[in-house]
Amino acid sequence: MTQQVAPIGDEDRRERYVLRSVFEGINFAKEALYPNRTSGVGRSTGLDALGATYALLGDPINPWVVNLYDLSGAIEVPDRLMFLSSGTNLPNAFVVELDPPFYHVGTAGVSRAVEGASVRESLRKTIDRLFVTAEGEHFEDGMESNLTIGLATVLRQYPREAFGILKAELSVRRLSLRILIEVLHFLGRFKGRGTADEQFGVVTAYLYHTSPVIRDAAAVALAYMRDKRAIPVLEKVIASEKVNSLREDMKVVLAELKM
Amino acid sequence: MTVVLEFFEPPLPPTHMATVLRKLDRKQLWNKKPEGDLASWLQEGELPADALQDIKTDSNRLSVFLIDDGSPATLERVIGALAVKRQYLAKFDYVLFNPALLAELGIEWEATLGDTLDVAVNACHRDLVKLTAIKLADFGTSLVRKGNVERKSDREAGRCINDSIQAKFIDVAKVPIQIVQQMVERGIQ
Repeated sequence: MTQQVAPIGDEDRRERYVLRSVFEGINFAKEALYPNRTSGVGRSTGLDALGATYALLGDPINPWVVNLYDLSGAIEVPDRLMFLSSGTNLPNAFVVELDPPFYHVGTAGVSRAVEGASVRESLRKTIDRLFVTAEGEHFEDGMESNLTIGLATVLRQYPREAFGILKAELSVRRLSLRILIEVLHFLGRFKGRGTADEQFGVVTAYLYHTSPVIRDAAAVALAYMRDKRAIPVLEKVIASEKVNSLREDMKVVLAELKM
Repeated sequence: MTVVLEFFEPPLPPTHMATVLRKLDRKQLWNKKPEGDLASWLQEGELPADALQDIKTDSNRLSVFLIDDGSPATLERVIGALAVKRQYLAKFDYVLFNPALLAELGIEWEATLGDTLDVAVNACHRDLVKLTAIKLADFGTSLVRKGNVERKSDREAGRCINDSIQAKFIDVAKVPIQIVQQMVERGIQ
């Protein structure tokens, strides 16, 4: 069966850009070539009546689903995995479809493990693609980016798994400073389900980064979080901060947190 | 749509007090004296190349706001108008500089209407025009040397928005709901 988790009728065009680029690995220019395609439940809205009906009902259209039907007789599994979008400031208006999972016939425990591994692998690929796409993005304070929309989407739907992967990516990946700034600001203002402590931990760790630009981004993120646990941390960091202008900006954050 | 009001605005007389605001994103790249990891290779008064991303041109133009002594558009009012255009409440980095700097660099500007929610702020919008790569780099370097780089925190930016709403410079009905929500969360309204 298909799990339909959200309507896609009123989805925003920009969100579709994000999804298509991330999940289909194509660049934004292709939007002009395939203006009617979506990455929603039915994959396409410019189809004939039957296709459109399938799209609305969430009935599978992808060929791989047929194989799944052959295999899934004894195992109750969804035939596709989707993310419901709820970006930081965006309506729940679009669906992210993960790579088709591959299921093995076997015991329920084994199949669940395989399914979990498949989700994690899909999440890892998704986050990887978000970072690849981000390399060509221009980021601006106060504006959502494709990166933040995508991260919010996966973190809303699979908070624990996605945050674990994001954290791992941050530790091993050589991100440019501007992407790292965008991620830190995002972590500061993202209201996740059950990941607040981890977000706080990641952000505060970057207060000790070698680059003052990143330390600044971490302090700004703490200001966005408005978490009073940051007060003693900031007091300690301010005492050792050598960059004068940054120290002054951190003091402003500290003062606001104490209010 | 951009409306060109006039094609060239002569430099202001030296006695006239005015300042120009340009929005930035990464204040720490604009320090007069390089600090931290930049200090090991950047000379005082030099602009790190990454900072050019904060003065990214479009059609060889760069958007600035002229804050004139007699103008109703104060610094806070300009910041409020720019901050409310965003999708969420965020810190606001900017640089202030003397308009005479533009004449020194041979940079022309045009008065064009801004597209904020505040009419008076729109009127003080200017486009720096006919920018070449060299002029842009010189402009950035001059900003580092002669400009004043400042920041309003997200809360302060929210207060600027609120002041403009209270004074009816900005129509509250047009303020994005996310911004309103965030202002309420921060106790600004």
